[in-house]
Order: sequence, then structure tokens, then C-alpha cells
Amino acid sequence: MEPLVKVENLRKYFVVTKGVIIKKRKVVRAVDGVSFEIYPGETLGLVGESGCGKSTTGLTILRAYKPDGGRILFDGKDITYATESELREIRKYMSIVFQNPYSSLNPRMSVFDIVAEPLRIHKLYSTKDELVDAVFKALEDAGLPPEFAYRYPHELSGGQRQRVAIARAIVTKPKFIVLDEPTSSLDVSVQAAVLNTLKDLQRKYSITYLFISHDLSVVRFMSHRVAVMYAGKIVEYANKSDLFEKPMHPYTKALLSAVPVADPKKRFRERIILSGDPPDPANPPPGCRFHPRCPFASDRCRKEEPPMIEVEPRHFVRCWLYA
Amino acid sequence: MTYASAKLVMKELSRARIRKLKMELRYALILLKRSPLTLAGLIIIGTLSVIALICTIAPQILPYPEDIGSATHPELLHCPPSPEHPFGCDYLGRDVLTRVIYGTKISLYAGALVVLLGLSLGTLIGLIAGYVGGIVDDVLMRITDAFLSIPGLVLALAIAATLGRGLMNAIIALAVTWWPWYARLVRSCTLAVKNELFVLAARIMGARSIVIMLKHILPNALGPAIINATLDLGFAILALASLGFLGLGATPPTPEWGAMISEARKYLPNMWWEATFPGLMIFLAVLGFNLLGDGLRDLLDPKFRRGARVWRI
Repeated sequence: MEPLVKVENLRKYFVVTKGVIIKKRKVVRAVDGVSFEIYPGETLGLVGESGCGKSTTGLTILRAYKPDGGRILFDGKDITYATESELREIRKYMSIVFQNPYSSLNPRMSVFDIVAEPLRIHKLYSTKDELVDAVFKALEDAGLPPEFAYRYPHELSGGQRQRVAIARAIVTKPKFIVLDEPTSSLDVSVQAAVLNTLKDLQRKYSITYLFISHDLSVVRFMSHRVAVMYAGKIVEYANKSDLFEKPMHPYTKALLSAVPVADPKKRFRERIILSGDPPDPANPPPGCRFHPRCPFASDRCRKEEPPMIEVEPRHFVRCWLYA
Repeated sequence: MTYASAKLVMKELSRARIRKLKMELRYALILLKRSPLTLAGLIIIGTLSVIALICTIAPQILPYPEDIGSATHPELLHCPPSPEHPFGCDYLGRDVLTRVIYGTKISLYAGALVVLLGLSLGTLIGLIAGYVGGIVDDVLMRITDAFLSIPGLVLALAIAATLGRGLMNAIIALAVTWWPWYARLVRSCTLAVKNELFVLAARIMGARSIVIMLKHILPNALGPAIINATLDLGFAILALASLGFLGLGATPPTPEWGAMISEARKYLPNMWWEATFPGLMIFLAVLGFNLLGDGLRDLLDPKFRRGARVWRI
């Protein structure tokens, strides 16, 4: 099967200027050589700590940013450097749900107009009845009662707003949705309900998701495959079960050991506690970017950057321990 | 499967819009009750607006409608206030009350036009500069700065003098000095709204820049500019009167307040009524717009919206 989204060696750098009189230019390597494939109907979970480039990866794939290198293939088409007018045709097949549902809805528009907007942009209806049908269908799919169409964002709770954002994302029947931490600003009970809705939608319309999160248990629930990101690079990439049962990269191991387990017998399980902070993306350490915090770091890690190694079939690790 | 008929939905949507408006009005009323000064401003401006409207529709109901123009009544020259002429008569024997009332219309319309022109131009420039950014922003903002580097009234005087005497020329001159303030304000608001996620969402949906600017950014960035416009209405009226006083505004028979004071200046202080009443009207209009504008800012700008006490002069 052909992947729906294929990313090869994607790079996105931001130039930051500092100083008032003497301008210092710094290049922040937010995404530095990321590769993965997402197959139709599956969910790729992208995990990592804040500032590691997860969201930038998602936004660059959707071409909200111009990439600085690499290739993005969407449905077999190279969209890496496509112009905005070339992209317009493809944009109806992709959408996004943001983390913050308070900023992602225009406060001056009714829910109906918010959800109808993508349809109006792409003129995906011929009569008003068709437009109305599509909007109400999307609201129903997102789990909102029809009378919500006439409300304004300020009348809705966080979970309801996120459902409006989901309705807006699915109204054009897209093939691919980037879910950029869609539940991390919601409380736990609402989180579970929204996640179930997203899973149902995937099953119903066979939508492909890129699920960005820092919450490992949520990623485990949602994803088929998982990529772990650290400082702009993917350090481990495997099927969900392989990654969660046999984590290989020291960073993944540390992350997994930090997940609380609801089992008192496992209270004294081995914990890997990382010291230090994630590196400054404008000034990453030489060699393996994780070596300053890695308990297993050797001289080689300090000098040479490890390549992506396929340790087991479809289980990739960027670590010298497996070379 | 059909969910609802389009007609019904559109009707329901407009009802929702009205509901939202009503809610905002109700909220405004609550705040208005807490702020007697805003209410006073609203009453002053409301009265002046009604007077201006009456003068437009039916100027003949004014006490001496022929005195609006250059009628002369030799027997009434400089006659002091009396029951027939409560505000007295001027150097041509015209009724000052009639002229002052008719002046309301001129000043209000002209002031509104100045602010409207300035606001439109400033919004256009500020929106484009803020949204496009980069070199476009730099160029537009440096032009704006260039306009701001000359004192407002001096620039207006120069432009009005170049264009020649007349109310319309004075309006244009003032609008030219006024737009840079709005351009700056709208630009800063645009920059703030531009970073909202719904703008990014619209871009990812594939919306064109012009749609994003008009539908998503403008409605959310215009609030402070409109508040400022209300405050500025008073100052625009004052500036128009100043130009009129200096002989660069409305031409003589037109009962513009500033021009009236200018003409009556020679007869001060003995014939005080000829200059005092137009002056009082200017004062009233400026005060009214200031109170209203201040109140509106407290009402619409959450940064200033704290507690019950909202008066401030």
C-alpha cells in the first residue's frame, strides 16, 4: 500500500535576530531531518517534550510553513515547494485541530459559519441546502447537538469548542488531519470523550491522523505507530506495541518509565530519571543530541551523530547502542 | 438525509445574530447605568445629533431660517439677547440662536466626515502593513511616521491654505493629518490578531489573504480604532472650528461655529453674545464626544474594564 503522507528528511529552520544595535542571527533548527510515512487510515503518534519540534513538523507538512529542505509527498504528489495556488486544490483534503480551542475559533462568527467556512472557501456545495446538510452532518459527527450551530464561541465550554474545531476539520471529508495536542487543554473526562469521537471518525471515514502529543498514555490509546522526537530529530520510530513493550532508545525508556502506572505492586519499579534540560535548538550539542542527558553515553556519542538503525523489522532507533 | 431546510437555518442564524447584539446592548446598558458621565455624553451627543437631523430634514422650523445665509436686518444690528432673540443678533442683525443651531449640523457632519475619511484610509494602510509585514510594512509605516513628524494643526493649515478656503478643503486637510494615528492603531491590532490560531486555521483551510484580512482580522482589530474615532470626533470638530477661526474653513455666510467666532471677535467684549454662544456649542460638542468616547472605551476595551467606577476626565 502506498503511504498517504510521506516525509523525507524534512527540515524547518527559523532565523531569530537578537540584540538592538548589533543584530545577532541565530538559526533555530526546529525540525532537522525528520522522515516518516503515514499509511491511509492509520494514526502516527508524534511524541516529545515541549519545544522539540512536534507542532512545527505538523504545520510544515500542512505547508503552513515553507520547508527548508527535504520532501513532503501527499497522496503521491510532491507538495514541498508547491505554491499557494497549487496547494489550494489539495488543502480541502487536509486539515488541523489545534491545542487551544479558545484561540482557534473566530469569536465574531457563529458555529454554523465557522464550520461552513472550509466548504465556502472550496465551493464544495451547489445549493444552500447542501451546505446546511454538510454542516449539520459534521456537527453530528463531532458529537454536537444541532442547536449549537446558532451559538457563538463564547457561549461554549472548552470541550464543546474543541468539538466545533473537529467539525470544521472533518466537514470537507479530508483524508488527512493533523491533531496538534487536541486534548491537552481539556479536563480528563472530556479528553476521553473527545478521543473516542476522533477514533470513531477515523473508523467511519478512514481518515489518516498525525497525532501530536506529549501524553504517552493518550498516544498509546490513539496511535498505530509512534515516532519519538527529541530536539528536532526522530530518535525512535516503531509500531505502537513494539515501542511501548520494547523501547530501545534511552530517551524513550526514560519517557516510558515516567508514565504513572496504576498498580501498587509496581510502585518500586525501576525509574530512569533524566538530569538537565533539553538542548537549545539554536545550539544543539555535537554528536548525538541526547548525549548530555543519556546515562549510557560513550565517547562516540559525543562526536558522531548516530544514524537511524533498523534494529528489528520496522523498528528504527537513532542510537549507537544498537549499531 | 436532510437535517434542516436552508431557509430555516438562515432565519435561525439571523435570529442568533440579533440575540448576540441584544445581549451586547443589554450589557452596554448595565455599564451605562454605572457610569453617569458616559450617559451624560450620550445625552449631549444624542441631542446634538437630533438637532443636526432636524436641520437637514426641515431647516424651515428654525426660528429665523433666512438668517442661516447672508440675510441682513439693519434694525437688529448687534441687538442683545431678548425674548425674540434669546442669543442676541450678530453684526448683520442675524439671529445667533438660529445660526448656532444650524452650525450643529455643519460641525457634526464635517467632523464625522473627517474621522470617517481618516479612519478608512488609516484602516486600509494599517491592515495591509500589519498583515503583509516585511518591506511593505516598513515603507507604509515610515510614510505614516513622516506625516506624524509635522504637528497636526500646522500640517492641516498648510494643506488647507494650499487647497484654498472652503469647508470641504478643511475636511480633506484634517483627514490627511488624522489617518496616521488610525494606521498605527489598526496595524498594532492587526499584528495581535494575526497570531491568533483561527487565522492560521483559515490559511491551512486555503482561504485567500483578502478573505482572511476582511473576515478574520478586520472585525477583530477594528474595535479600538472605532473607540478612538468617537473620541476624535470631538477633536475634529474643535480642529475644524480652529481652521474656521483662522479663515481657512467654511466661507463667511455659512454658520460654522469657528467662523462665527472669528467674525464676532472684533465686537468683543461688548457684544459678548455673538462669540460666546458658538464657543459654548463647541465646548458642549467636544465635551459630549469625549465623555462618550471615554465611556465606550471602558465598555468595549477589557483592559480598561474594571469595577464600577468608569468616570475619568
